[in-house]
Amino acid sequence: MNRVREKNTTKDIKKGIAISLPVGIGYISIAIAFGLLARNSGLTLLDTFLFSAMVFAGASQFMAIELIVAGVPTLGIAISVFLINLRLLVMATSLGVKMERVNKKSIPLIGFLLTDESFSVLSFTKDKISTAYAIFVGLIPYLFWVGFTVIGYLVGDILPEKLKMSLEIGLTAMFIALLIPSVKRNLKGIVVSLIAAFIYIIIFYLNILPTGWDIVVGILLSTLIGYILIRKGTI
Amino acid sequence: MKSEYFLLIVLCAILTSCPKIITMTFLKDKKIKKEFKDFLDIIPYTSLAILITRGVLTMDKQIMVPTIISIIVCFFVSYFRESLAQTIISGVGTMYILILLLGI
Repeated sequence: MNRVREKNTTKDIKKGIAISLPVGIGYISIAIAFGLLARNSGLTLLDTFLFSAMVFAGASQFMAIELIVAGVPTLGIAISVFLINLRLLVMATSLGVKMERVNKKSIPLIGFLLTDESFSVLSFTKDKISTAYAIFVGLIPYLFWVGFTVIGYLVGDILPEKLKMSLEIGLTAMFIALLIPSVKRNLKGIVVSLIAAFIYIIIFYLNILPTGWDIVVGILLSTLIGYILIRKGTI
Repeated sequence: MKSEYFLLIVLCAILTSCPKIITMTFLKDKKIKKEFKDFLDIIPYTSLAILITRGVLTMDKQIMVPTIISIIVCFFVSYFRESLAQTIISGVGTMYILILLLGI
């Protein structure tokens, strides 16, 4: 009986690794870019490592560093990070039904490892999810993320200047890669995104809000306008 | 070596992990209020659109042309391939080639 269980666990681990490896590979250039950005922003290697190892959220980490550099107070950074991550709350709820087979004690770890990408993988998995599978789907990209953040920080001096400049586009490319597939078949998503871009352009050029707060206000304002328009059936 | 931003990192870690862990532990299978869910559903679109717009508005003027072309390439690759890795690699690759070609 135990042997059967062990065999199944090994199978689930292998399945988890196979499906999450491409995600991990996708993280490489962004993780290196994050390591570089952190180094250029004056963070220590320990700060940079802790950011990736403890926060493990690409968009939030980049945002936090940009806000640190812009001199935004801790509270502003915290609110921005919280807002950006609220979407994962909805994702975590929707995974509930598939998690019946998952050991309760492992849920905090699986929750910690949940990202947009591992959510996509887990929610597109047809069968009920096992504990080992759920952990490895999150763990492999995590190891890539933390490992290549450190590598990015350490190779900062060795990399040619032109390549470093090119890596900076990685962040915007990541945001595009997350947004486009989800708005592709979704008219409301396109309209809401355009409203947000338009509102941010106005806020940016008005230049009355400090950097960082312009993002927070932009997100809240455009989400509210989008929400009202959707409720009214305008879009 | 000490961490100058340790408190901020811990705060960010808590604010990132708590929504996920608490929801998974306590709200498993429970329904959250539809109005709240609708509002939260919009945030990924608005926040990503704003971050992309910000990336364009705050770009380095010296590398404006390669940046704009790379962003357009990213849009196309993401639209047709729907792949995180391919989008990022094509963006960084286009940028690198253009910087070399233009001698920036």
